[in-house]
Amino acid sequence: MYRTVEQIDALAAQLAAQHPALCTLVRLPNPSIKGRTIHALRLRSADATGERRGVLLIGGTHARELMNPDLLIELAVDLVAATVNGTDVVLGARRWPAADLQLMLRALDVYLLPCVNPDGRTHVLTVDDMWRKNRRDNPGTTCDGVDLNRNADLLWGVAQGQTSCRPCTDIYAGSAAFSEPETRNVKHLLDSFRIHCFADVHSYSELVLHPWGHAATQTTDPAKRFTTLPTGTCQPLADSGYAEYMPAQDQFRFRTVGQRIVDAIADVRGHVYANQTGFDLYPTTGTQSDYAYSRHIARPALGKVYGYTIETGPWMGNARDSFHPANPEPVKDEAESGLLAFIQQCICAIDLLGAAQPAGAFDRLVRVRDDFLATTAAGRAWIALFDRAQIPLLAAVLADERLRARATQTLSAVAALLADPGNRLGRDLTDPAAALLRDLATGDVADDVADDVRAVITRLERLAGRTVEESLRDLMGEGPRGES
Amino acid sequence: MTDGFRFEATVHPKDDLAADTARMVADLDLDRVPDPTDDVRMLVDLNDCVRLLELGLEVRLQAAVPVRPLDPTLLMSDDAASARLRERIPPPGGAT
Repeated sequence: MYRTVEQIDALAAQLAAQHPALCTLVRLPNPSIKGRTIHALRLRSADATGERRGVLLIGGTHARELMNPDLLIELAVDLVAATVNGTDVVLGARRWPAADLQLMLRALDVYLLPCVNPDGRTHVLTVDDMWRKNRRDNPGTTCDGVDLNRNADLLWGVAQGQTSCRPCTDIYAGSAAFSEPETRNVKHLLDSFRIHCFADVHSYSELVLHPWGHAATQTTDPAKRFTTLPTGTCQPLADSGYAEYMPAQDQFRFRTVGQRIVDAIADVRGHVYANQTGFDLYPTTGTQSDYAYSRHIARPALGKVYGYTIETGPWMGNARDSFHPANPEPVKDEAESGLLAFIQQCICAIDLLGAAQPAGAFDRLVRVRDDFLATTAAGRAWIALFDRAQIPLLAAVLADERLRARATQTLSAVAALLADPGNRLGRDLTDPAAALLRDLATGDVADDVADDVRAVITRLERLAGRTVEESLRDLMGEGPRGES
Repeated sequence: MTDGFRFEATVHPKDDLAADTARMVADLDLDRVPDPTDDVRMLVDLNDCVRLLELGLEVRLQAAVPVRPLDPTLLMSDDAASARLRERIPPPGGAT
């Protein structure tokens, strides 16, 4: 069963009215093409202050893909309920403990735009249940609508694969990049807040898609960049063999996080989504998730956003029933589990603990991660370990002020050490760090987390007395399980 | 997509020729929808069918897809639409 636009809006307003400390309506600057006011919803813990690392999840871009706006507003209810009541979220065979959801709102600002295209959704409910675009009246034609997932400023108007310059097609890119108020609202959210993770939820075909969508991805030739290509050509890319560059570390992160989304989805009822690039589905330009990731390349002053498109739900025997199945509940459950995993993967311990420090205090830690560790397979294995272990360890740190102080002190000491590659890791640093990890790993931690902690302690022992430069070389040469 | 008849169709190269069906369909700017076996599946009207046939492709109509609103039985009532909030976060004193 599906909600009308009015019911989705009412639920969002009710949530914000009843839980104003957790939940805020964000009025977007552009009414829809038919004049409807559109709101996003911001969720954060009651004690949060200032601008924080953000996640942006959007749905309903394509009108006929009905499940996803319902899914996103229900996700908002579940996040608030976990925080207010301590209610676990049970999604099929997967249980998400309330503590995990509470940590998400303590660590992140979660922005939800459940229904990007409200006019289109209303058209689906009242006129044509296979309508895809917004309701733009295209001048000079009898055809309405722009495909909102072809309208973003990434190779806009390059008619690569499933993208068109013809208004009567369902894949019409519009008259210009961001010609549509609905896509400008998404851009506004990316421009206005510190969004680090983005997902555009579509249907159907059980896919978790990451960039690139316009061409195959390669990691060896940084000169091949979309910024060098002409836009608005209404032709496919001139070089049919063109492959777009992506740094290996970004490709690794896209695949790793994508796999965690896939695993969390599969936990619900065993459906295994494919983790692949958009191009592997079919070529496109101007999509919102690729645009989100492309922004820091086109404008290096902008922060990097990891952008995904998730295609929820299986083939149901025909397209109509696949876009809006009679019973969407199992699909929404598995998609919610995947999105919770995605939000969780956006948490960054460095960012969270660094928030209480002077600005930039932990920047060196981030640079070591991104500029050194991320450049080798062994280094990326260390990053994967930290990403995996930080969630349960952070929960322990945040629950105990003394542990939090020790963790912050340790990170500060490491950040200071990194100022000079010739500095040595003394026992005065490695011993307290190992002791902190032992304390964090006591009690009710999973076996794999305990294994990860042991791997870090063992390596700390090995690095004691070495310089920063030697230590980095060691970590980049051999991962926690001997990866090289 | 023009008004009138509309179909869900799959498109195939005739005589098993190794035509790049996906590329040919992309050139026609048709509304491709996902297919479980990676066939080229789309929503087409009669004009689209003619264009595909003129390209030498075989068009298999899978279903008629008339223009109609969503089945009203798939819409939630106002009460059901807000039930999740009441169930997960009951109002104080059980009031509704």
